[in-house]
Amino acid sequence: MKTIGVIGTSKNTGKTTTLSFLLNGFQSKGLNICVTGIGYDGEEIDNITNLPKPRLYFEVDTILATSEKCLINTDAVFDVIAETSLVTALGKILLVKVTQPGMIVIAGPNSVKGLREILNIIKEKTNSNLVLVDGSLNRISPMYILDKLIFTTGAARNTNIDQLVNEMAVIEKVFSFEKCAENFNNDDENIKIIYSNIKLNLYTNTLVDEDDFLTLESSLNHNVEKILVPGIISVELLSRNFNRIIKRTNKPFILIFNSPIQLLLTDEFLNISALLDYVINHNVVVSYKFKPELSVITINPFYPQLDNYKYISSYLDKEKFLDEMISSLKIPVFNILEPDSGKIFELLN
Amino acid sequence: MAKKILCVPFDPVHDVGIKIIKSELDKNGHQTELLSPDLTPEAIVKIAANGNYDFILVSRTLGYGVAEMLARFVDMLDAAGVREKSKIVIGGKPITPELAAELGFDKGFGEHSSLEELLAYIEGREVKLTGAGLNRTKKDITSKYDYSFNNQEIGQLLDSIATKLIDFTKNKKSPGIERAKIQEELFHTEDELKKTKLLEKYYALCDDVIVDGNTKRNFVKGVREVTETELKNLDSFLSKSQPVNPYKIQYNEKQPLLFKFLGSGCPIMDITHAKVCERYGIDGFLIINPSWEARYEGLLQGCLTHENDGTITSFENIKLVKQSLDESTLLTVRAHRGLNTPETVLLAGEAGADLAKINLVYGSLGAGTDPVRLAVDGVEAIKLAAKYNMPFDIPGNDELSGVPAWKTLAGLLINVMIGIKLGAKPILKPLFCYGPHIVINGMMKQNFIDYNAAKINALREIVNSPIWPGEPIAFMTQSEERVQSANSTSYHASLAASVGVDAITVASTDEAYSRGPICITSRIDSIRAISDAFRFIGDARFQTTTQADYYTDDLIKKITETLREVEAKDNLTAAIYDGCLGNKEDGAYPGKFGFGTVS
Repeated sequence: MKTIGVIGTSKNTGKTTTLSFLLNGFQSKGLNICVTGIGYDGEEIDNITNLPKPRLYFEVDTILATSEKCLINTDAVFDVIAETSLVTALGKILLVKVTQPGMIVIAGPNSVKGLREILNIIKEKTNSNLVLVDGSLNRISPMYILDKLIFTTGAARNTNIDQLVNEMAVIEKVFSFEKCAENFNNDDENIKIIYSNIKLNLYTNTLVDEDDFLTLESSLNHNVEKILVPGIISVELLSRNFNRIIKRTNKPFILIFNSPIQLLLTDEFLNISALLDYVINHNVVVSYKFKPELSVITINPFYPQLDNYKYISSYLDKEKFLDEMISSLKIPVFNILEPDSGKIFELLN
Repeated sequence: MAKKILCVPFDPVHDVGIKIIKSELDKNGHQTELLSPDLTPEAIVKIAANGNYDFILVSRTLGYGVAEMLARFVDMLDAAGVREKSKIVIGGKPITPELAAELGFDKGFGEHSSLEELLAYIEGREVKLTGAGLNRTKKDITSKYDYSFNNQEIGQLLDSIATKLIDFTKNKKSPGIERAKIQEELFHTEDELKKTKLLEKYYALCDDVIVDGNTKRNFVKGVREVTETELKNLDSFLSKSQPVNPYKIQYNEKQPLLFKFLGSGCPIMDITHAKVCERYGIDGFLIINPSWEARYEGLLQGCLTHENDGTITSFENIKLVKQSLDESTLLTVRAHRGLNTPETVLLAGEAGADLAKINLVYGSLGAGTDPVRLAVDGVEAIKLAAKYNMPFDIPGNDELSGVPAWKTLAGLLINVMIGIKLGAKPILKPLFCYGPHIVINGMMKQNFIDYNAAKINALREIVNSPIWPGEPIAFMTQSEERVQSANSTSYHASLAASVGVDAITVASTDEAYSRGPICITSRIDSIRAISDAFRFIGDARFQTTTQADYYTDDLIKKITETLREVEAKDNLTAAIYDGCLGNKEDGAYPGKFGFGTVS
């Protein structure tokens, strides 16, 4: 069972449109699809801007993992396959199969733990060969356990095309590092220092303040080969203190982050890029415990613009936006609403 | 079992809510820790990650860009492994379950959530919601009153006036009474042939417009039947929509019940508004009929909608409204305007309404019905109200024509005595208004309190009867600005609570300026404003000035003089014709509808 997630740099960057596009395309190729999400998506009106939103329409036989309250007001008809013990702010998550097509709002598991559990249930209870996982707002954290990701960006994040391109270049860079060859347990919660012959667990999983760094620094010596940081980091502190780490280790080592997603959560994208450049320049190898593939980037020129105390729909120049993204990035970029976007399916196969 | 809870004011300014919540959680034995509001998200995540909390409660108002910030914070907690052991909860005024889900929280509590809901969630037990449904019992406004007269002279004058009127109406007939009798027979016969004959008899007593409407379904302009689809959709709306966590308007049991008008013309819209108002705590409604209905002999039948002011008072419409309301919600039907008073009371009774609105004096002086016709019809209508055990409310809206308050109050008292003599349960409805006579004579120049309070004091000194100021309160003090209207309405409601009346009728904030059907938000404006006003005044009282005492004495004196004048006439109808209860100078004219129809 393959898994693909759609994540965005912010709200209104085209996650739902991209997900709908993937759903229709893969279903027409005969795949058994299951759809879930890490937040709440498919509603008629944006919860924040009050602007109409694209909605999720599901054909017969589509499997969904969504919260029970989302199944109250729907024109679709469905059979409940399984009730799960997972609960969201909108009630228990149910696994359902659509028997008459219609619109359904998706609100699936909101955490890594929940997403992992629901994927296991889908695998066990259905014959789905592809699970599409919808993002929510700019939320990305649970998605690192998936096989492939599609990143959506657009004018809702920033109306400056150059800045959007630069941000995606950072994301591309973050995803360019490899998965670590060493296998770690999923429950490796704390920072782990791997010397030539022993492993040392620290009492923290974060690197967010001076105490964390002092703890780390005091545990380092010349025999360090790898450092695993499973929790979040402060890019600013890591940048500021990295010299101290280098002095203690005195030779190249592998710095293992949990996933590219974890890095992207830490700071402004440009600060992350500067940190990575700095680390690499000191011959440190960056790698990940988990590494989903960033397969495709999609763009959305729409943005909600505040006008006289209410939001209205506005758009960037879509050709310019797409051209500049394509010319600056190695990862394929598409505007889902343009004719050549069907190529996405080849890239995701 | 006590839970370990981290309280996070994720907002540099608005941390009052989370402090209150912390205090409640502490009181309930939980172990809480409140962070300072100036920590970075990273610092909060570290504390959350190291603390083994059962719950992380985040408090935040929403503004531009805050959703993304909160979503990132949730992701950071997830990435730090906090979600493996802690539930993450958000609270804030605009938070809904959908928004909480979208932001990635496990649970959200917003403006309409209660502390009990939060506690139940924390403690892992079922929420003891007030639940679906209003969970209240129907109130009887009249139950505390024995209608004894404290002012003996007024009591004796009224006794004489009422006796003479009832004697005057004895053995008199009108088409209105005849139709009511036919309707009553129709309700209690199964025989189709007999029904047809009764209907023929009924139509013979109706104007052509009504006969055409009922037999050919050829209605007056703007009237049509409610469609099956509309009724089906209404049924679906009613079955799916139960009020959850309904508000209670009154802060204590002594504060007055709140009534609102229904009269958009469309019973479906009326019901939709009514259901929303019920959720906001309204206690009852008055169905207001179209003004043209008063001019015609006979009533239209069926479930009908009217594309203009006033909802048609057919049996089917009243029944539909009544059945759609909660069992505890009171419904009164306006009956006293025009030529169908007994029949309207009969239909209201059969349809299960709780009260009927009847005023023999105002119906003649301010609402266009011939005094003799309304006297005869009105006595019959009050008898029917007694038969159906429906108290009848007596609005004093003739004051709005310019009639002095003492004459209006004298008219109300006459109705009370007629009611008592006919075995009914009357309710006095003096105005809380800035009426023309008051404006011209400066009785409210110093304040709006003394004169309104004096009306209540005067009535109380005269008779032990329920009092329900209307209609609506604050009439002539509202403007096109909704906030001003809500404020003004709430001040009058506070006064009503202060003087301890039984009920009040309130308008929406756009009632006088809507230029069409009023909107539901305006209805809620005034309800919420009054709810706050009731909370504000609680069991405190307004302090009237000595002027209120003067006005009270003056009103009683002038009511007595008015009643002496009325009593000196042959009967009430003669007094009305002679202007004893309002004359041309006051702006009141005896009505002409139904003149010469009494035999």
